[in-house]
Amino acid sequence: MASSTILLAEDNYDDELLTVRALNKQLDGINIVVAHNGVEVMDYLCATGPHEGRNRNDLPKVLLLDLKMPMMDGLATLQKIRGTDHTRLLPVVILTSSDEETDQIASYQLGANSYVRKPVKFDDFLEATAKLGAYWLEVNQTAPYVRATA
Amino acid sequence: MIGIATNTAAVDVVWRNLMGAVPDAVIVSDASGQIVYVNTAVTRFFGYQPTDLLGQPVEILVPRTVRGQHKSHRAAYHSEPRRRFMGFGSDLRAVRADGSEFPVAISLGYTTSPSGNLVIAIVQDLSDLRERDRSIENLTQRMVRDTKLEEVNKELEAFSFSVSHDLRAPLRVVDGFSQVLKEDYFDKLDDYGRDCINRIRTAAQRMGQLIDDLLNLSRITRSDMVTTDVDLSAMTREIVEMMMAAYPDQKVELAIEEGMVAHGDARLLRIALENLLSNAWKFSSGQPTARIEIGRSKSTRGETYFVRDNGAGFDMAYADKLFGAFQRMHNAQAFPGTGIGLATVQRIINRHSGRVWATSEINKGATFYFTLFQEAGNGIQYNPTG
Repeated sequence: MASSTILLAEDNYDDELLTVRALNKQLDGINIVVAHNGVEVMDYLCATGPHEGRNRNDLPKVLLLDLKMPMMDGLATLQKIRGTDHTRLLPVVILTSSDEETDQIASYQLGANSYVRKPVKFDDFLEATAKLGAYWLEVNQTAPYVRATA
Repeated sequence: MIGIATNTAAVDVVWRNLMGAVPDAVIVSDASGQIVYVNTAVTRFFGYQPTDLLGQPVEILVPRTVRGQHKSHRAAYHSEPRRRFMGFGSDLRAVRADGSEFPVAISLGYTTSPSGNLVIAIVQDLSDLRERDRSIENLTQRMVRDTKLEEVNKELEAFSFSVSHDLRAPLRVVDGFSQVLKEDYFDKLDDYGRDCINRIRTAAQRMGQLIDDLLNLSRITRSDMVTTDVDLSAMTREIVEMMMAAYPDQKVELAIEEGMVAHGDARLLRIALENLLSNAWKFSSGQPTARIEIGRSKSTRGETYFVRDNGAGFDMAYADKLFGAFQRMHNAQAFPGTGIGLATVQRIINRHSGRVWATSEINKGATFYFTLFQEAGNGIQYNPTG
């Protein structure tokens, strides 16, 4: 059984606090790891950099990925994840303010599993987070860990 | 096999037929500049009969403004005759019998005869070519304009993305943390404090709605148009069903004209109709029985569609403000809304080269009219942004 870890990629501290609060409020016994850009996401997933020594087979149940981030942005991160054997099948949910069709199309083309627009209204945001968490942590069955061939 | 005529009469026939078949005008003049021979094409080119031209100075075919010049050029040519082609690059013009001018290319050759040197001018009419040049130029200009338009559209897109992301994010934080404050410090706040928080949240949510509306409005301007025949009657019935489900308590008498089929973009027309019908619903909600009518009137210029209600109406003095973004005719307590609906309708109708307007009387209702593709007459549109 995989862990109940959610990896949250979010560069804005206010948004991070609100999202973590919403997730904790809606879901019991979850572990939330926060990354602030794509580089930190890849470090966590591949157990490199500050995460060296972590068991890299222990992948999160889902990655909630913001699109607009410094250094490696959301789409570049998604591309990197899909191009890496180890993380190729990781469920990725785009969680963004953007309602742009081009972002939605690019996200799905690059292999996003879901695209969620963050509602302005916090109550709606709580509701969306609850549904997201319940689905990806409780309903969805993730693919078995894919061993890197290299 | 090449036939060679051997007797003079046969040579004459071949010569005449040959010259008659040449598509360009052939004009032969002598050393003094008098025309001694023309082929039949001169009639088509210049509007003269061949016999009108024989014996005339060749300058009769040259525009008045350059006749003097032509005489000296002609004298110079006779002193040193050679084959010459003049035309495409230079702006040569010839004049017709009726005085009108046209662009030409001229090839010159010379020969000798018992009566002296002869100059043979072969004249090509470049009117079609110039016309094509102009079309190409127009097309080029249009392409340049479209490219600029595309750039502006791209900028708009970048701007709307920035609005979407950059303005919504802080609003979410305002709303989110005031909710946190309410949840975690509820006991420590008095009624006034709680009221303040509610006001902050209401305002943040309203601003979120305004931003979303603005983004939707810009999307309507940017989206590609796909025009087909659209059954407006069927579309209206579908929207009406939706409205009835959304407002089950409102009593509405409906009249929908059947068979209204228009040419346009179905997705955009649906948005326009939804806005007009939801306005009709909203502003007639105060009536014991709302009456909403959707129909058309025909005129020689085409069809005018209308949506009529018996609701609150508006003051015609402000009719010019009706279709502006964020313009409202009523206060938000009486009729909620962001004031973007009619601005959206107008943009959609504009994209269909149509017109939208309204008439009303306060407390008696309003009628909104619109036309589609009427101004152009033939319905053919040049629509660079799709």
